[in-house]
Amino acid sequence: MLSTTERVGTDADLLAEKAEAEAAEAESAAAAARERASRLRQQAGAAAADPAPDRPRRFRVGLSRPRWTTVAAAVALLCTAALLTVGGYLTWDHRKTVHDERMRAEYTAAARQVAVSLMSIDHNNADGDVQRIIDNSTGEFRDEFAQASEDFVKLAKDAKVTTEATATAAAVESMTDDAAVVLVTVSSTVTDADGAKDAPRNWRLSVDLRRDGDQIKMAKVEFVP
Amino acid sequence: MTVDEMTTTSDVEADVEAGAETGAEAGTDSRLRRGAHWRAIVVVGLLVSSAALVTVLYLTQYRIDRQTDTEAVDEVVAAASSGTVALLSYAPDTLEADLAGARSKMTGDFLTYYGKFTSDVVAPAVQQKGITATAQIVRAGMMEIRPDSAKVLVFLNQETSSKERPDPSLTASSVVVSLTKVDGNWLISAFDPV
Repeated sequence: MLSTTERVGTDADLLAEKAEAEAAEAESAAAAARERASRLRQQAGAAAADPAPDRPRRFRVGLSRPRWTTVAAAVALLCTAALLTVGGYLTWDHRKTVHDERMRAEYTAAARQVAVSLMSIDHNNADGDVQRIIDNSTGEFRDEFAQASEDFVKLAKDAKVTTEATATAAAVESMTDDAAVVLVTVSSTVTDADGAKDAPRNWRLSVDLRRDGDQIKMAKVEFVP
Repeated sequence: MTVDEMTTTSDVEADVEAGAETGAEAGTDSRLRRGAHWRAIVVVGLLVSSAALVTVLYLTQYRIDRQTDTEAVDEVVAAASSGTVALLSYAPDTLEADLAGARSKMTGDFLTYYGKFTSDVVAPAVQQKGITATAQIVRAGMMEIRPDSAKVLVFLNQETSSKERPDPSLTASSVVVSLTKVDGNWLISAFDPV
């Protein structure tokens, strides 16, 4: 029979043995783990080293590709910018053409209107007719006409004549954004106090127009001989 | 947990980590490549669409506008003026050449009419009465212009003299000259005094 002490000692021995065995086991496991780890490291190293011959190629391609595409993109963008500039010019040019066309029509219509108002005098409404001419005039022409307007009205009233005028044709000789010279042909018929009509007469007018605010007014009128 | 289990776990973790790393690398790479791809599409798209825009603007506007611009207006007015002068200027000695010259500036029905009228009426009268006519353009302006047709208002004076009346008489008149563009040349297609 073992004494309690002995038994305890044996138990301790056994435990120690067991612990030793476990330690050895752990040591071998650790060694295995280390071995595994180093194997993995080797693999990783191999993986890193393996594509090494590829790397420079990929690297070279990777470097030269952006350079090539960057140049191509820059050229393309420059071409796009140039094309857009040309497009802008074309648009501007077209708007100018449309603008000129509209202006020609505008000047033509204005010249017809002022020429008719200038050549149409109704002795019953001479003051109003003359005022309309003054309203449609500008510059020196307006001043001169305003000065002579009284005589003009008196003459029309005394003669008791009515002149009816129609513009038969009008054409722009020259124009800018704010002035134009327009040729107008006017046919006028004079009716005297007795209601007798003269044969229509044709006139060739050269009308200088000028923009005055938002209105186109006559700055000079000339009969072309 | 045993040491072995631990090793296995860390092993797996390492593998997963490595996998995630290569995955992330591949993702960045393809994302970059996809980005470059899209940038290329945008750049080429911009180039192509701006080229298309310019082509359309040139064909539908610019080319047509050039046919009615200031230079075209000057050309048409000059054609109307020289045509009118040719039409109304003649002398007995040079009649054939005068009429041929005038005919070369006309087109269409008006050319037919003028040919008939001059040979039936004008030529005999000019030869018989020894009429000499000279036309001068006093003023001219553009009424309307389209790419292939135009109207010009011409103020002209015509001096006429004959054997019976050697003193030249002056006639002032206004004419609306209609022109048509034929093979790039503006030719008179109507002549209407107003």
